[in-house]
Amino acid sequence: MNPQYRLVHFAPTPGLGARVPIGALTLDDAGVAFVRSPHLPRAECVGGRPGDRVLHLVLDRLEAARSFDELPKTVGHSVVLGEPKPMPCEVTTEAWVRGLFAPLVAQTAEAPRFKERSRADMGYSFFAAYHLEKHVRKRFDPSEFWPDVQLPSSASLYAVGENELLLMEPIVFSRPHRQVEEAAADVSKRFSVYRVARDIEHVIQAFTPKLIAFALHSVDRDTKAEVLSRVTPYADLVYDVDRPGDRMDLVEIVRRTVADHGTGLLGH
Amino acid sequence: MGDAEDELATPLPTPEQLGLGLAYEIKALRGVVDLEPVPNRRPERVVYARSPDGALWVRKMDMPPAERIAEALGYLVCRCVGVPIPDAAVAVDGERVHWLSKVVHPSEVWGPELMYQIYNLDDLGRLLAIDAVLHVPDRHGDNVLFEPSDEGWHLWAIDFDCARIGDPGWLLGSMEHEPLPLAAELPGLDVDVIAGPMRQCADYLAALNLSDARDLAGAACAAARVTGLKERLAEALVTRCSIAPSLVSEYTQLLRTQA
Repeated sequence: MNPQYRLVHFAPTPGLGARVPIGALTLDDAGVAFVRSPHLPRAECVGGRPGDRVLHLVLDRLEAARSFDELPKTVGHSVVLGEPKPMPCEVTTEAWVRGLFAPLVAQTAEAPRFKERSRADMGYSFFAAYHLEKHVRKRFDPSEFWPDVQLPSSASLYAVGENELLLMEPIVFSRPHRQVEEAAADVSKRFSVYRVARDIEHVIQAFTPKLIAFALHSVDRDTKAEVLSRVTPYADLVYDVDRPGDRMDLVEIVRRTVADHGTGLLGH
Repeated sequence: MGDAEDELATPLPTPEQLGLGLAYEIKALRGVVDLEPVPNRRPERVVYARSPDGALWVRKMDMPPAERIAEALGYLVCRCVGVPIPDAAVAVDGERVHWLSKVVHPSEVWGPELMYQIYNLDDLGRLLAIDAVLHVPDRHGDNVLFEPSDEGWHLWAIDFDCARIGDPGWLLGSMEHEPLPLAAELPGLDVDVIAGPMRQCADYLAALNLSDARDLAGAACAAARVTGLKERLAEALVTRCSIAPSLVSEYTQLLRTQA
């Protein structure tokens, strides 16, 4: 098969016909893939921070592309697909296509990094949807609970019950794969700190933290399963919110934990 | 799921707050010029357009009367219930009437990863309740928009042109054999968190009286440039609204089944 590519353009200004290349769909013997441009436009070129947010949303959604003929259904009016073009047979597809965007380097050097919503914010939104925002808190600070114990590890979210503390880490998959891997490693490391502390610190044993990881939506089930399998040994409980049963179990454990405890141990 | 269902982040507005009973006017604009087609939509039918005041619109070309009525009534009901929907107008070009919907920019369409990032999630439930009542059979991912902000994503309702309320005779005649539309195709939809707002919206719509329905039907017919259908449309609307709680309850079950 002769490999081909189709440029994918972001349309930042409705009605004016402006187009900014943000990547390409490729087709070769390995199948269809989306190659992200290594040099994306600055936020001010795509309508500021809101436009930048939409740009990165569609970039994440384009990762799910499995057809060379059309864009994924979740990609709407912000993106335009270019015509199919051939590429040389003897090249490495991804590297060659990434090279297409090279001329943009000089123009976009020092582009400010896109500020994504934090994992904590995105996980918190899940609980807010279930009206648990009064009970689930962001950014657990262990020194507030255990002033005499040196614990360098915080947690993204937590909920406090009469005798129980839930430390919760969301894993966000709508991000480049490398960031997902880093987040999984970070969660494992944080939980590991608490697991060891649980074993050796009697102060912590008196008020045992339960370590919960939960996965937000992912189109790639294999990747999700693989990432969760690496977090599982460190977590007490792992949930996948794409599964209705898991979702309800996660909500229920938080509800049960906080049921008799007002808004939190520290009166937060 | 009692707790989640019974709590609402934002209460429904009272009829007095909304001015229900006062007909909403949908403006007719002249001198609207077309720009480029909206990407990934039917290019011969959906284009960007600009009005003389500089406003940017999505223009749906040459819609048949039933679709214009459906768009107009869907728009008006959303406004009544407080579901965010972009400003609407019609562009009149001789005998031709085109529907205009203010561009929401930047925005993107539905995806499962947005489910818990929508900060006006109650409005999603209300929108689906309206869909059940107006019999909207094509609420899929392209027919709802999300505008980004620092707090998450803000939902906007769009596209009511397929609502079967636009053909009130059919809708009244199909109450027995086809009371509900097809379930919305929104992958990843978590019905548990929107069931409460759906039910409350249904109760709210059930209180619509014939006088209000006539106002809404009159405004929709006027905007759609359709004559002779106001009473039939009002009858269909008030009939559907009177059974909104049961319609929405069944539709909620349908959504659960599909999920």
